[in-house]
Amino acid sequence: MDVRRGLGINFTKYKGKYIALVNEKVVASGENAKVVLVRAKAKHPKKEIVLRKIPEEETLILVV
Amino acid sequence: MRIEFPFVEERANIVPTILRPMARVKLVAKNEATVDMYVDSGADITLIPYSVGIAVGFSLKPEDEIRRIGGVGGGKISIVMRRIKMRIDGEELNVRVAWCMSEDVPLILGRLDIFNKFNVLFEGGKKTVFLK
Repeated sequence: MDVRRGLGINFTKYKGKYIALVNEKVVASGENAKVVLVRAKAKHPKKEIVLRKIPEEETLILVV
Repeated sequence: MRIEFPFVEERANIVPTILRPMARVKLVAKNEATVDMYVDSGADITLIPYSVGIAVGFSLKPEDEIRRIGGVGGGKISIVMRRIKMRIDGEELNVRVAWCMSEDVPLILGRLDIFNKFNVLFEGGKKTVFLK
């Protein structure tokens, strides 16, 4: 796989939010990472859950 | 050892879509969380938002020193330093992270304690490669 495509993620809907992915599909979302993970684990207790944050700004220049 | 992560296509406002270097890693403290982090060779240190720290079991202690760090544009954020185990495709690292005291930052995989363990390449603008 060269790149991971947008995977149908609605970037407008999830802008600034956390999403939980199971098999690259969004299964939970929200503004608090812990809450999102707990919700996702409740729905998919045996699956690997990946947490991702959708950026608020659409162009990122990241330096810390 | 060669660990590869494909760039991820996201939306941008300067072009319709943009490919960004992102690594899928496991953060391990009291709890574990698998997270997608932007790989940022310009970042001195790995950065996680407040609730991600809470999710892996961090808590604030009276002796914690809250520090201010900044980036492009001069904006400053408050952080607390923590150590965490980071698993990158089975390779486990002990990494110092900046735990941000707010939510309004992305998850960033920076250089400290990571880029000295791997050669990190952005290959062809399509994938991030960690070489050991």
